[in-house]
Amino acid sequence: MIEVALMPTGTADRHAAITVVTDVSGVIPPTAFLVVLAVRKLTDEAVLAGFGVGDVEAGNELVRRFGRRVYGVAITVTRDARLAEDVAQEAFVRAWRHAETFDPRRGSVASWLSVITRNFAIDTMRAQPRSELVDPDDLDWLSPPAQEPNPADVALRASDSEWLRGALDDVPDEQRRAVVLAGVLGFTAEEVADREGIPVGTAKSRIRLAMDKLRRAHVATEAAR
Amino acid sequence: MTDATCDVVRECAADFALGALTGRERAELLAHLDHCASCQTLVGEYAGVADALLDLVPEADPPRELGPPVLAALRPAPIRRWRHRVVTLAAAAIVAISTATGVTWALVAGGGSGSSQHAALHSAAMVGSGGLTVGRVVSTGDEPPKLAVSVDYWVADGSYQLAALDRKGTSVPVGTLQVSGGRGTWTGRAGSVDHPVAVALVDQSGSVVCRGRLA
Repeated sequence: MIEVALMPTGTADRHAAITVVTDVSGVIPPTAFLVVLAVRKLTDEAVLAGFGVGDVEAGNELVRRFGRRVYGVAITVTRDARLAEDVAQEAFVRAWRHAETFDPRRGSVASWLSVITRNFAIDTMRAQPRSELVDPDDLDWLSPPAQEPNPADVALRASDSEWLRGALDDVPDEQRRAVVLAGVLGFTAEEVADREGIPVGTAKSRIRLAMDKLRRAHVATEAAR
Repeated sequence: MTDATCDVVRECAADFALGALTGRERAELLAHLDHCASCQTLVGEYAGVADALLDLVPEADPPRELGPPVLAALRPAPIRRWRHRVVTLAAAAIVAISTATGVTWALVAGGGSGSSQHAALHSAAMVGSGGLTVGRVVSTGDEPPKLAVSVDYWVADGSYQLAALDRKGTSVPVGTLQVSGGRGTWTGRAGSVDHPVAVALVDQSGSVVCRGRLA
């Protein structure tokens, strides 16, 4: 069997595919054997691989799929629209440089891009006074959103993160603040201690206790799938 | 460098996942993970939590489109230059090859790719037993070239070695491609092979599963 594919020029998103079935000598049989398979969406991994070798269409598609997510992480950490825009752009450039290091066994493209963005945003914010960072008590995104613009995105992301929202609800407030400060905003244990007015050892304990509870919830969720 | 113990890893795994260890601590922990499967599992679970925390962050609309400045930032790089030339001279088209189980894509330049070797962009099918097309390989024109290999059909799940073959027939390992759920992708440089004539996917027994001919 051989495959032949057709795709509208300049479209990296959807395409029609046709499979041609041949006999052992490679002769194409009557057209009745032509089978239109499907219009499918390219996988995120394929788009990233294309971007990694410098394809413009793939770059546009990657930004179209993940631009809001990347900017969301950038603005959450920096709280500065101009800075967040710069961080988001640089995150995509870094993704292009390091696309070959992406390993799908270790997570999704979305998570990989989020981690790149968070890490660069944190690096950028290291020079900023911590008082300019968001107060974790104001992180209303820890609760399920009342309204989202895209129902499809909501359904997908809710299924991915619902376990975590539930698990966070069971974590004491002080541990929850500590793990969000460390895990999302990039605070060190010393910085968490400073902000919370507690010893460094206590800050470390809170972070580790929260992470352990969330890990157990994560394992239980994976086992139930 | 000393190797951390399982007890130390258990104590530090959460900090490791959050990126809160020092370089030395991180190196010691990684050395231990190289040979301890149970600690690998534990660290992987914590890493899953750290990634999931970011999934809760709400998406937001950037004030301006991110695409144009991102793509503009790529222009000074060599890859972007040859890509621009290919687009200008050859009206490059994207061809995606879909199979029943997945999708591979490739960049295929049209005719007249120019005189510079950097303008060359090679694409070939990864061909398995009986001439079956099982994926795609794309090679850039620089030295050594960057390769994008994907398989999405027929190849069994598992870990495969990717090898680049030079003109003398010498095979050089360049990376590992993991096939999961019938699909796998890998991108990277062709190691010490400046002009690979083929890329082969080799299974654990050393047998070539499929091959893409670039020249």
